[in-house]
Amino acid sequence: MEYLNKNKNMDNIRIVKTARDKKSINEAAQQGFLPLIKKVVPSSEIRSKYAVIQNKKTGEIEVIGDYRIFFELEGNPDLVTVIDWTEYYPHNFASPFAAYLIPKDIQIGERVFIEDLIEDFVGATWNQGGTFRLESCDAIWNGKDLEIQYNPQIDFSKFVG
Amino acid sequence: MRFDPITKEVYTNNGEFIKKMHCPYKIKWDNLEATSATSRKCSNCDHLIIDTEYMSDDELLHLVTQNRDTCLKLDLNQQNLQIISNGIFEQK
Repeated sequence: MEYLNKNKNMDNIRIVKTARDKKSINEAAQQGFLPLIKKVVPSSEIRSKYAVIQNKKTGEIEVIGDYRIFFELEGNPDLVTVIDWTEYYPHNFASPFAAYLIPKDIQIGERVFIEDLIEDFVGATWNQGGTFRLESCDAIWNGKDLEIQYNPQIDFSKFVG
Repeated sequence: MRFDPITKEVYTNNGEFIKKMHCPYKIKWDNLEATSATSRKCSNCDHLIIDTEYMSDDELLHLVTQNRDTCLKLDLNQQNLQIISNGIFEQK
C-alpha cells in the first residue's frame, strides 16, 4: 500500500498548492494560508541535453535532444552542427523562491499531496542519460515543514496521461 | 513519435501535435488494472490507457483524433519514441 501512495493523489488526501511569486504568496496569506517559503534551487541531478543544427543555405536552425534525431539529420550535406551536445538545466522558474500554501487547520502528521514541488527530485530517467524533475509528491506535515515522501526506487521512466 | 518531457507534449515524427500528457490523478502504469496486452484501466475515471510502445504515428494520431480524451502511456525508453526538449527554447 505504501508503494501505491507514491506520486499520486489516489487517497483523496488534501492538496497543497504552490505559489511561485510574491504577489500570489501574499494573496494566499491574506486568504488565511501559511506560506512556507522555500528557495528554488536547481539540482545538478536534473539534466537535459541539446545540440543545434544549422542549415548552411537558409540559416535556419533545429534544436534536437535525442541522438536518434541527430543521426537522421546527419546525412544532409546542408546541415552543420553549430552547438554540439551540451547538457543544461531544462527549467526556467521566474522567481528564485516559492511557497507551499499550508492550510491553517493542518494537523501534525497529516499526509498531503503537493501538486507542484518546489524542490528538485528526479522524476524520470532516460536511457540516453537525461533526467527530468518530479512534478508532484506526497508529503507529511511535521509542524514546521513538509517532509517530502520521495522514493527513488520507483521506476520513473513511464508517463501516463 | 516525439515527446517533450518538459511540456509533456506528444508529436508525430513529422511534427504534428497529438496531445499533451496530463493525468490529474498522477496515476502510475504499474498500478493500473490490466485489460489486455496493450491497455490498462484506470479505476478513477474509467478510461482505458493505451500503451504506445508498438503503435505507429498514424495509428496513434487516428486513435487520438477519434477520441481526444484517450489516455496514453509512454516510456522514455521505448524504441519508437524520440525525445525533444524544445519547450525551454521557445519560452519568451
